[in-house]
Amino acid sequence: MSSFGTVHLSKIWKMLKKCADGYKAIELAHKWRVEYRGRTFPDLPIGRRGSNTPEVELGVVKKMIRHLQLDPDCVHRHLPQIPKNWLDNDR
Amino acid sequence: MTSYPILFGVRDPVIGPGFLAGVAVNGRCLMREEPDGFWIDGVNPGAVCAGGASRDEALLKFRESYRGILYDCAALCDTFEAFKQEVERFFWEMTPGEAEAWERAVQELRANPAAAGDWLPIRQNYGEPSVEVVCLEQESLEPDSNAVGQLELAAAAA
Repeated sequence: MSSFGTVHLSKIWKMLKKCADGYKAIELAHKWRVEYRGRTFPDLPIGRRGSNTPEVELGVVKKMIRHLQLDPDCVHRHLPQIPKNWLDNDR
Repeated sequence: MTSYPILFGVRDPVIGPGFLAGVAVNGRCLMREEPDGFWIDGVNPGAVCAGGASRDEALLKFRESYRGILYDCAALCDTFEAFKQEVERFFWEMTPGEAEAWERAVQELRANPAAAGDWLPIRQNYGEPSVEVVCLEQESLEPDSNAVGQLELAAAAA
């Protein structure tokens, strides 16, 4: 599984709504900052200025999911392009 | 999949609202060679990553991502103290499993140093990760504070 495929940002928001209930996202000058249960992922791309709908590399999505400690089953249900075993922290 | 345990030492000036800060880190990240390119995950700091078609491109993008996050931190914080606290939190907040993967790569490199080629120098004795955030006053600025970044591969001492 390559880190270089992409997923649309809108699908990430949908996944977070289901798998990270109560998450908070703040758009800053360089990145989206996503906060969930006391942890922070500040590295979600905002895309080109003026368009908030970038394609995000799967490697970034994987890192965010692992960093925020989201449930791999839930993530896989909403982002099937990300296999569950890909989120194994003990790779 | 080949993995490279990287030590990086970088220093950045960051402008915040009413303050100028210097951020110096001795950080760690793990580069993985994939069929489509090279992907880097941060260890300390944990919540940063980037990839590229070549090692150099991946490192450049990782550096850009890291710097962009520092600039965003400055925009979020009203005071130098708040910025310092936020950068330290960012640096020490790790992704579960990443440090263990980095250590495994260190051991693999120790067992087979030739696998790294001559891409980066290999260091066998290295310190723990560290972060230093200081408030820079104009009167105390000296050119020897300028520093180019340093990159090395970590391999456990035999």
